Amino acid sequence: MSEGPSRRAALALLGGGALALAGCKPQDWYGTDVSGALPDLRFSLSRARDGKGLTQDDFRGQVVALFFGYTYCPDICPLTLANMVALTDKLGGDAAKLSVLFVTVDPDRDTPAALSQFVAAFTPRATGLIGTPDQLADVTRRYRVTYKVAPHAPGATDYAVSHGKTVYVFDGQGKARVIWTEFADATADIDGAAGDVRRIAAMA
Amino acid sequence: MKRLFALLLVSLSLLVPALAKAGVADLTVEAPWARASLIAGRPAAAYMVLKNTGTEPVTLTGARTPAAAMAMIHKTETDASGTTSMSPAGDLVIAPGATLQIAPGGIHVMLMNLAQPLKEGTSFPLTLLFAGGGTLDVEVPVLAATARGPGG
Ligand SMILES: [Cu+2]
Repeated sequence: MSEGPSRRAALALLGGGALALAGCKPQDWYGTDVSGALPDLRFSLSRARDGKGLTQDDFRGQVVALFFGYTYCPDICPLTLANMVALTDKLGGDAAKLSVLFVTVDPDRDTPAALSQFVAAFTPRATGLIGTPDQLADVTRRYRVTYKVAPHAPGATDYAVSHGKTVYVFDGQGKARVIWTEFADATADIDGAAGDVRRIAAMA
Repeated sequence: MKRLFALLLVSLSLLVPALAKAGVADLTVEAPWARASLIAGRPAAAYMVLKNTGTEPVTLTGARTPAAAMAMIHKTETDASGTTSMSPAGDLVIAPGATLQIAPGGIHVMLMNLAQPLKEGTSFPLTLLFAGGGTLDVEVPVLAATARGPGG
């Protein structure tokens, strides 16, 4: 993909810029600033709860926290969603400004009903999204999310899945603002993430 | 010959208690917990902290529980691109004085083919298996699905 080196260069520049500015302006994001380095929010996926087709336009005006996982994931995915619950608790009334989007990378096992139940058990701020193979490929390629579903027979329920755990955060205009690379950890900085959400909500 | 036999006896007597205990008597378990199941048929994970207060290393090799047809020690790993996957952790040596954190995002006891979904407020017995045949029984409380650690 041709945008690879340029994106890396942009990120490197960004890192350099942050360093250069460190003397006068502290880098106070919890996440990694990706403004201008990652593409705007754009997707076409179906809401697990009712099958309704959704796009980025349905989340205009909201801070969007987008990440990827699957419901057979016993460790990282429920922890990330539990951290999202802690984040919405921390945000209090400001939680209404945040939409959490959980996209399954395992649509073979993640039926709409299962994904909807999984996500709803955490927070009403979260929406479970399912794509056709093309739709999923589009959104994962756009943000360079790696995932791998082990080959399996139709109907099999026992196979391995690996996936990127980064959370991508967009402002109300759909501009990529920060990524949270450590949010899937037991020690995720919830206060820091809440600070990012409030700051991004104030931008748009 | 007699002397050889005596030597053998001595080494056996040294060996037998070591095998029986395998250092497990000096292990403490703290803060065990598991996340409640959200959907039937999904695997679960159990967590805890193991401390080796003894003078011998102990090696965690596996686990079993009536709550699941299969229990395995798994490791969640993240590569340079941020891609996370889990795989069998293999034998985990806990050195004397060392602590093994079995916690989200690191090591977990993977519980597959649950007898029934784990229900918040209940608990289930789990037996940790160690090299040399030692075992350690732990009662694991089931916390809310939204729990982030042993404190909820
Ligand atoms: Cu596992």
